[in-house]
Amino acid sequence: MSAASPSLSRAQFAAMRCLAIDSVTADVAERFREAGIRTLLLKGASIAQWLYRDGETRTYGDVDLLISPDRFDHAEKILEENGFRHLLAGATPDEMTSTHSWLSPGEEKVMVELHRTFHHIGAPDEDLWKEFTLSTETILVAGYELEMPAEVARCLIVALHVGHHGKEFSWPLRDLALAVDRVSIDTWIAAVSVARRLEAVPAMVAGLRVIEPGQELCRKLDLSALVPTTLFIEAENIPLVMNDLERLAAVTGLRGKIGFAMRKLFPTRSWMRYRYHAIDGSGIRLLATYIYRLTAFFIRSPSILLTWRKVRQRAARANAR
Amino acid sequence: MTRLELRQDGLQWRYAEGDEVVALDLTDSVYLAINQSGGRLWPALVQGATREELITTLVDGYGIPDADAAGDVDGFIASLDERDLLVRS
Repeated sequence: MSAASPSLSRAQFAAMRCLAIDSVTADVAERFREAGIRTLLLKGASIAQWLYRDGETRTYGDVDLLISPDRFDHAEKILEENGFRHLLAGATPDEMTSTHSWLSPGEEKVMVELHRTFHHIGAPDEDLWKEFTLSTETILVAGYELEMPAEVARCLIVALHVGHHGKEFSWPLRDLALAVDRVSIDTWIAAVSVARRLEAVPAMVAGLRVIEPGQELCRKLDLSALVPTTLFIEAENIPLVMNDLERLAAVTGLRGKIGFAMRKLFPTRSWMRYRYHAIDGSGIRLLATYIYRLTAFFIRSPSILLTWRKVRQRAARANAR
Repeated sequence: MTRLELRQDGLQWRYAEGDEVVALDLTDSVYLAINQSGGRLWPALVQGATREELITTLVDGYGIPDADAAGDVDGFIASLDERDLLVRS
C-alpha cells in the first residue's frame, strides 16, 4: 500500500483538478475578503457539497464567483495584480458576456469566472445580487469558509445552467436531476418566485424541460412560459450561429444589422484567441483562422439559413405544447 | 497508546472513485494518489486512530489475516511519515 501512485486514473486526475480549483477558490476569496469584496460561490464545490452524498463524486472544471456589481471592477483589478490573465482582454463589449474569465498564474492553470449575474437573468445585476445575498449559507472549500446562495437560489442556478448548456455536458444534467429528486417541492415553489422576481422564468422552464423529471416538475408546479427562440437554441444545443441570426433579426435598421453582421464576421483578435485556443500567439495562424471561418460560413450559409427556419418552427411548436 | 492523525494544516483531500483518495499537500504543492485500501484507512486517520484500530479496519474491510493487515498499515504509515503528513498524540 502506498500514498503515491505512479499512474493516475481519470477519476484521480479529475479529483486532483478539483483540489487545485478549490485551492485557487479559497485563495481568490481570501484576497477579495481582505479587500472588503463579498463573493458568493455559485457552482463547483457549492453544488457538489449540496447535492452529492458520500460515495457520489462531482467534479468541476473552474471557479464561479458572483461579485457585487459595484465591486466587480475592483475584483478584476485584484486578480490582475495577482498575476491572473483576463482571457477576453481587448474584446469589444459586444463580445463580452456578463461573466469574465480569468486564468490563474502558475503551472496548474485554473479558470476563475467572475459573474455579475447568471445565465438568462432578465433583471438588473443589482437585483440578482440583492436576491442571492438575502439568504446565504456557508461551506468549507479548501479549509476556507465561503458563502453560497441559499438552496432556493441554487435550485434556480442548476435549472438555468442546464438551460444554458442543454445536453452539452453531463454534470449540469445530473445536478438538475438530483435537485429535482432531492429538493422539496416547497423549495422549488420558492425558486419559481425568485425566478419571477429576476425575470428568469422562461430560462428556468427551458432548463427544466431538457430532462424528463424537470418536465414532470414543471407540470407539478404548473409552470409554463413562452421560451424565446434564443433560449431554445441554447437548451437544445443547436449551433450558436443560429442565435446570432436570431439576434441579427432583432436588430432594428439596415445600418444596425450591417454593423452587427460585421462584428460577428470579423470578431476581435482577443475573441478569436479565446475561441480558438490553438492560435494563441501566431499571427499567420490567426489570419488563416479568420479566412477559414469566413469561408466555412459562406459555404454553409444556405444550409444554415434553412436550419434556422426549421429551428424557429421547432421553438414555436415546443411553446405550443 | 499512540494515536495517529493526518496533519490538518495545508492538507486537502477528496475521494476520487470508490475509496480512492487524492490529497494535495499545500506546503510543497505535491499531489498524492492513495489507493483503495489506503483510502479505507484515510477517514480513520482524519479522525485519529491507533495502529491497532487501523489494522482492524483493514481486517474487517477486506477479510485479510491480521499479519497482512499489519504489514499494509505499517507500510502506509511509513509512506505518510515520509511526507510528514502524520501527527502523533
